[in-house]
Amino acid sequence: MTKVLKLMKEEKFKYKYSGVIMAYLFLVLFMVFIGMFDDSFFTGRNLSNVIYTAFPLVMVSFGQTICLLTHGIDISLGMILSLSNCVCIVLMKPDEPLGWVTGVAAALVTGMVCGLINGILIGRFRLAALIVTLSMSTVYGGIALYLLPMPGGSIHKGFAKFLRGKFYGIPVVFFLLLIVLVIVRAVLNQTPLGRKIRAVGGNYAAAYATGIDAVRTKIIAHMLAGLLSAVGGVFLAAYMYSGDPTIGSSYSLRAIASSIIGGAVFSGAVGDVLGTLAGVVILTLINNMLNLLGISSYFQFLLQGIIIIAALALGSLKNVNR
Amino acid sequence: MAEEILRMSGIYKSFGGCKALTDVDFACNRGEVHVLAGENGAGKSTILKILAGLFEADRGEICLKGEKVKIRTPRQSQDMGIAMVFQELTLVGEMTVEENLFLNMEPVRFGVVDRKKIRRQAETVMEQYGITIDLDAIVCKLTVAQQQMVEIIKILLHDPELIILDEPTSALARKEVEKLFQIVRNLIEKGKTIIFISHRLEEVFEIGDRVTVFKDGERVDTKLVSEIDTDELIRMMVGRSLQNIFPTKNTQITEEVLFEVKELTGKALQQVSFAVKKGEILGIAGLQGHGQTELMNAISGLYPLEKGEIRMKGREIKVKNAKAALKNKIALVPSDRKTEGLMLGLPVRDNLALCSLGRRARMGVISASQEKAYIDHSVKSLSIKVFNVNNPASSLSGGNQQKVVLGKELGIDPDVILFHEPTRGIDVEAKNEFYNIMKNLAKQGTAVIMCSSDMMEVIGMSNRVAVMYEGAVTQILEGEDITEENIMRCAMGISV
Repeated sequence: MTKVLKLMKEEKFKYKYSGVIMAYLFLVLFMVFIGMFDDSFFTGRNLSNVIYTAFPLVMVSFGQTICLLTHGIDISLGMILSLSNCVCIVLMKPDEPLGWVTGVAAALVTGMVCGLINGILIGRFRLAALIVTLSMSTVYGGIALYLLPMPGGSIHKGFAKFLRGKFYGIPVVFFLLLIVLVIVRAVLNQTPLGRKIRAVGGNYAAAYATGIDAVRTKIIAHMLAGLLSAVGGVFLAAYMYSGDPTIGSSYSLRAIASSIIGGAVFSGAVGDVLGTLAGVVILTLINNMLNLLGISSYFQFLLQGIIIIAALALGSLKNVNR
Repeated sequence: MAEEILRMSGIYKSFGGCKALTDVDFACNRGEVHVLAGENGAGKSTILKILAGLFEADRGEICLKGEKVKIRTPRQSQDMGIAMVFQELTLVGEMTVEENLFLNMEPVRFGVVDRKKIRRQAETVMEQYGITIDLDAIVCKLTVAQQQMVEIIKILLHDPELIILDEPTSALARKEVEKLFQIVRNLIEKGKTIIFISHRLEEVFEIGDRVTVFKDGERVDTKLVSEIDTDELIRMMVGRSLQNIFPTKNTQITEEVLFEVKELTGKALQQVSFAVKKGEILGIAGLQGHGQTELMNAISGLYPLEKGEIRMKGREIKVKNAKAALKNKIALVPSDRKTEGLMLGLPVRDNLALCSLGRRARMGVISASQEKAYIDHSVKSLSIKVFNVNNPASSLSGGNQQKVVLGKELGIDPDVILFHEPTRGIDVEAKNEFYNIMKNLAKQGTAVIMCSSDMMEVIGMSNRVAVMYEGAVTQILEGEDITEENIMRCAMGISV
């Protein structure tokens, strides 16, 4: 315990994790607050529900955090989720024993290819990330609509059952989430790639002078983000038993908000997916609470926008202070 | 006889027709601290950047340990055992010291970065050379001196033989300089060779074994530090005839003080005081990075002051930001016209009108006829050579661009006008025109302050010269005292 306290006093710890700690503090307070108002919150059913709703956003947000670390952004991640969701459904063979394999594989490859394209346009051709990904998101959304004009299709039953299943009463996707979290954190914090990503985001010129292939690093970062978004798309296909070409439209913005709430900054190099996870849960819980309280969906939209702006404003204030 | 580790001979380098180095020979012995001295732009940095692979020489050859080598990229230079610590630091501020040190050369174990190995290596190097720094510190929270230590550790990890320090002391306090020198001595003890650029004279004598003086892209001489004294060193650095492009100085100077600053103090300024009399041009001189830029910016509201007062015709004024400066009729012609002076993509007309838009507007709408009259007047009075005022500012030559910057500032009818490097990168003819304009402004009763790193310009134009050293005005030279030698002495912190 004393060791933990000592660690928390260290400057490095403060600098790296102050955002993360704030996010979790807020999360805990928020959960206590909801629990006081609503008895049904801490029921297994509701908590599972939260996990199911949060999972795809967690995936997209992890991807967004990686892009933010490179001092970039990817607004097309939501549409990459849509596209891979549709690819997954279209190529799925629901009646064969291993019919899910082609669909899932194709969806993941789709996500990476979309990320590759974004990465090349941003890294190699030096186009503004915001504009590139905003434009590409309509391209990806268009392809999704072409593949699957109306929500529908059917999913491989065994595959859906597995992703919707529970293990000792805990949803399988919860474990999946933990595995992804551990892998992504390890990549970002403990591998040379992770350090390159943050170096490119922190000081492009210095990274270049150190011999880092900044273009390659950016491309890989966007590919990872695309892959993670595709994982979210595949999960949604299984969870909803069908595909939906417009399902991802709100994800990009919420993913940015989650990352910023979790301590990431627009200026790059600072951020941790552990904080992003808290950001996602906070956003999801707010929606969950509004649903439990029976507040109309119009008002929910309105409130969500305000919360996102507030989070961004806090993030930028943090920057000004530094 | 000491072993020669490096010999550069006949090095010639020009940048777009502008000669930076003319057939320079330079040699360095193993185990010595070799100091390079000379004015700004004398070619010191250029020759070292050629050595570090950042520039390629147009002509000349480099011999390293007796072998002829070709250096084309920083990487090649590094592989030959040459390492350069730059003035601009190459660290990622958001990351820790440890992460920065091994950036892009992280040892990997089972796919993850081997932090134990990193720490071991870094600590070995630090212990070896007597450097202490917290490896877990976030770089942007360190002082400049500490960041420099990180840079030095970073290059020492490659175990270079020849280490180049480009003005490492310019941003350091005295105590930090001593620390740095101790490390330099430790490096020499371990058999390294050091090339050191310095702008401070006392440092040459404190740390140097030999000194090479550069002037105007040529090597003046190389001497053993023990064989020369301050006077001789300064004589080596100066000594040129005044070119005849300066107008005769105005002699009708009244005692009336137009503009005055008292004890301006800020992060890089120490109690700067001076006054400008009616009719005179006050020059500000000094070697690069001794507070001149900050002084210019402080007076025009771009640099925050902690203390001090600014007086215009005896009345105290507050200059909190650039808008307040313009309102008080203080104009600045900045040193970099391309980034600070002009909107390059906009027409000449819009640029000229920019500072004084409000003066020609009625109820928020700009009067086209008034603007046209104003533009015509500016173009004519400054003789700006422009085919069409609707062409973008970027289409003009450097000299004419500079006139547009001046015209833009004159639009507010300034009472004080600051020129920062007024003739950088413009041709002789334009320079001459510019000097005449400056003289006339002073004659007409505008307080003119000119800050320049071109010493000839300062001498040729100024009625009085305030010389800066480490953020303070060391001396104000007047009349016959304005000589190269005196300015150089003051700029190096030695009194006349």
